[in-house]
Amino acid sequence: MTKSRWLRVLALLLGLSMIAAACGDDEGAGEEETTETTEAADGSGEEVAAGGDLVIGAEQEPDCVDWISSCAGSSWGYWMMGVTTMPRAFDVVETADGWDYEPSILLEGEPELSEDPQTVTYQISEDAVWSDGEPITSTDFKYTWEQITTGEDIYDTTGYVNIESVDDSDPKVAVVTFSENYAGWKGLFGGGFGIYPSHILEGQDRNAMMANGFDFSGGPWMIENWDKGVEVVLVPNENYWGEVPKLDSVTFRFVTDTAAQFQAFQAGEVEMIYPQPQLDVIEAIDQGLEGNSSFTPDTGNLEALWMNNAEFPFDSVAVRQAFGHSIDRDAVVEALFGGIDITEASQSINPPILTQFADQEAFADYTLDLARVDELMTGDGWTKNGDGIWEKGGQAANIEFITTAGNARRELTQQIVQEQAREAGFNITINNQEAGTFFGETLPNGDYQLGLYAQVATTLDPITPNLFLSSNIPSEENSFAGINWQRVNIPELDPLLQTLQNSLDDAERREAGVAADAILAENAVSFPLDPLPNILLWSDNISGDVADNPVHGPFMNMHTWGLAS
Amino acid sequence: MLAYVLRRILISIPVVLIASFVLFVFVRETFDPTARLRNVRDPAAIEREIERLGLDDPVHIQYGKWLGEFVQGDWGESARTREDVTDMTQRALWNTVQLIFWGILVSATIAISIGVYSAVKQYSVPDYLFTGLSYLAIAMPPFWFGLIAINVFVFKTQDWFGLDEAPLYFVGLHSPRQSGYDMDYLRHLVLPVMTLSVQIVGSWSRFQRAAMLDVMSADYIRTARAKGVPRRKVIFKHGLRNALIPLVTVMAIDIGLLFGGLIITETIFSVPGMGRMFIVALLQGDVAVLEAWMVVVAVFVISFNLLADVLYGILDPRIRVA
Repeated sequence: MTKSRWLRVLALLLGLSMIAAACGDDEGAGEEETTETTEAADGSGEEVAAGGDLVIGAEQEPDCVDWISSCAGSSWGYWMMGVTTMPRAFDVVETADGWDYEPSILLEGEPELSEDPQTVTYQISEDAVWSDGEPITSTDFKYTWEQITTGEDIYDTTGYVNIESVDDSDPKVAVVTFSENYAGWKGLFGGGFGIYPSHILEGQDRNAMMANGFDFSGGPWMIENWDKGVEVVLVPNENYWGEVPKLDSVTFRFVTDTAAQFQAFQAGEVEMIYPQPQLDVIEAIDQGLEGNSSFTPDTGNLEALWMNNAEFPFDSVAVRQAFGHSIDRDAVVEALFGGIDITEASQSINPPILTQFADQEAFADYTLDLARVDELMTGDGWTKNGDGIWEKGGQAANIEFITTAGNARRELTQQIVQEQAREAGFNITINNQEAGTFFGETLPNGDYQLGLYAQVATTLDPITPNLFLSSNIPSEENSFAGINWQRVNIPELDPLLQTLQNSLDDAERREAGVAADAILAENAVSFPLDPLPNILLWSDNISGDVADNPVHGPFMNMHTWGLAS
Repeated sequence: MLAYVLRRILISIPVVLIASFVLFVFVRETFDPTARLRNVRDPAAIEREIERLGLDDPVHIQYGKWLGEFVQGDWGESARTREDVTDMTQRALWNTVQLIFWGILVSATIAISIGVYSAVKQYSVPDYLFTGLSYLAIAMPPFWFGLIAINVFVFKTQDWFGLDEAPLYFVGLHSPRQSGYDMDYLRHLVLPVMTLSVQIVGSWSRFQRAAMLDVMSADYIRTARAKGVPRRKVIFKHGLRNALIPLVTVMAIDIGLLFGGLIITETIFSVPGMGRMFIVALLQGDVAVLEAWMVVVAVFVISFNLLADVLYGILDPRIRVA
C-alpha cells in the first residue's frame, strides 16, 4: 500500500475512533440508573426519580461566599450556595396577593412581635440542626448579629444596627430587642446573609473559614467542592431535618459567555441556564429553543431613567415632568423584550414584586405627549433655539446620559431614548463608563445628569426610603455611603419614608408608601422603565417543581427536583 | 555555548526589572486599589486598605516593597476574592499552559508539514490550496471560528451521524467532577486547540514555506543533490534544518505572547486561564492580580525570546559568539 493510502486509512481510523467514543458510555460522566421514584413535591403527581447528577450553567462565579462580607454580594453566589446551605428565618413565597414572607422550616411558626420596644421572639424548630448534627440555636442568631455589627468590611448592616440585644438564654428561643424600630425585620436573619453557626465559627477568623467555601450547612445541600473558575458541586446534606434532596449532586459549571451558555444548553452539556435578559438572549428564545422556559416581569428588578435632581436641567420639577412626557416608555420595553411578549413599562419606582406598600401605577400618567412637553417647558420659561433644543438663560437642555459600558441592552435603550428626547427638544449625548467608575464614583459624587441602571430588591421591603430619604444623600454625615444618588430632597416626603421604614403597623406603612409614591411621581424624581424579566431555561430531563423565585432565585427548591425517569 | 547563554540571561534580568517597574507604575496610576470599598458601609475600610498597601508612600517605595515580596513568592491578595494571587496565578497558568502546549504541538506539526510540502511542490494544486486556506485562516477571527467549530463539530456532527451524544465537548477541560488525562480530557481539548491553532497554522505555514523555498534554492542543496544524496535527506536534513531557524524565532515570540493572549479562546470554551483572569481583573480593577499577571507574562515573553536566541545558536553554530 502506498504512503498516501496509509495516511487516508489512518485519518479514517481516527475519525471512526472519535465516533466510537461518542457512541460509547463515558464512565462517571453520565447519570446513574435508578429505579426509585417519588411523587413531585408540588403534588402534581409527576414522578421524580431519585438519584442522578444535574449540571447547571452558572453565568457568574462569586468572589467569595462569606455572605456578610464586602466581597460577597454576588447574586449568583447567593442563589447557588447561599439559599441552598444557609438557614434563614423567613422565605419569600408567592401568595394569592403577591409575594410575601412566610416563616421558614427553621422556625416553629410566625415569630412573636411586640412593641415599645420592638421585640421579636423566634421559636426555633427543635428538629433544626446543622450538618454536623449540632442544633441550630439562638446563640447562632446572636453570633450572626454580632458579626454583622462589629465585624470589618461588612457588606450591609442595615437593620442589624437597630438591634440592641439578642437574648440566647433559651437555646431554642431567640429574643431580639431593637433600640430603634425597624419595619423590615422579616428580612433580617435571612435575606442574603443567612444565619451563621456559632459553634463552628466563634473565636475563629470567620472570613478566612468561609470566603472560599465552607463545609457546614443548615440547608438541604452542602458544598462538596469549589473548583475555582470551573465549577461548584453541591451534595445533599444528609442531616437536613426537612426534605432531603433526591439528586446525588448538582454541579454549577461557570460558563460566563452568553453565546457559549446557550450552546452548552442546546448541546446538553448543561441542563439549565438562568441568563441575564440581554438582547441576544431574547433573540435566541424568540427563534425557538428545545426544553422548557419561563420568563416573567414579576421580579425584584427595576431598570429606570435616574435623574440627578440637583443638576441642571433636572433641578426643575417642570423639566423632569416634561422629560417624562417626551419618552414612550412602552415602546422602549417592547423594543427590548417584545420577543418574549413583555411590552409594558413599569409604572412604579418600586420593583414589581413590592406590591404590599407601593402604588404600582404611580407613574402611569407619564405617557408620550409632546404638547404637554411644550406646555411644561414654556411655562417654566424655556424657549426653543434654532436647533430645536430647549434653552433657558442662555443654557441649552444638553443632557449627558450615562450607563455601564458594554451592555448591549442598555445601549439600545439609550439610543431609543436619545431619539425620542431629541424630537421633544432635549439634546442627549451618550457617555458610558465602566461599572466600577459609574457606581463607585460618578453616582455617589453626583457627577451626572441622567443615568440608566437597575435596582434589585433582595427583600420585600420598599426600596424608596433607602433611595429617597434626604438623609441618604451621600455626604460626610453618612460617610458618603448613602444611596440617594438622585439628590431627592422633598420636605413632605421624608416623614412618609420614615414611617415606611420604621412603623410596625402594616396599614400605616401601606398608607405612607402609597402617599410617598404619589409625591415621587408628582415630582418626577426619576422614571421607571423596564421590569428586567427573569429568564429560566431547563431541559425536559429535569422533573419536579422548577420555578423561579424573584428573591431567592431558581434553585430554592432544587432539593425537590429529580431527573426524569 | 554556556557563556553565550549566561550572557543572554544576564542581559534579560535588567529587562525584566525595567518592565516590571513600568508595568507596576502603569497599573497603580490607572487603577485605584480601594475602588471596590467605596460602597462598603464601613467608613474605615478604605483607610485600612491604604495603610495595608502602603498607598501613601511614593511609587518607587511602593515598587520596592512590592518587588521584595514578589520575589519571595508573596504576590499579594486579590481585592476581589481575598484569595492569594500566587495560587490564582498558578491555577490559571496551568490551564493556559495545557492549551498552549497542545496548541503549539499541533500547530507546529501541521504548519511545518504544510510549509515543507508547499515549498517542495511549489505551484502545485495543493500548494495553491494551502496558500488560500492559510490566508483564510489568518483573516478568520478566532471567536467566530470557535463558535462555528462548536456548531459543526458538536451539533451538526451529532445530527449527521445520528449520535447519542456529541463527539466533542466545549465547556472547560473536563466533564463535571472529572479530572485526569483521558478520553474525556481529549474530547474537551480538541475544539479549543483547534480554535487556538487555526490562525497560528496559517501564519507559520506561510513562513515555513518561504524559508524552505529560500533554502532549497541555495547552492549547497544543489551540490548535495548533485552528489547523489537522497531527496528525502536533502529536504529534511539539509533543507528543513536550515529553514527552521527563522521559524523558531517567530515561534518563540508567538508562544511567549500566547501566555497572555488566549482571552477569546478561554472565554468561549470556559477555560479559567490567564486570559480570563486578566479580563476579570481588568474590569474589576483588581490591582494585585493585574500586577502579577503583567509581570508573569513579561517574564514569559522575555524567557521565550531568550529561548529563541539559544535555539538559534543550537541550530546554527555560526551564531554562537564566544
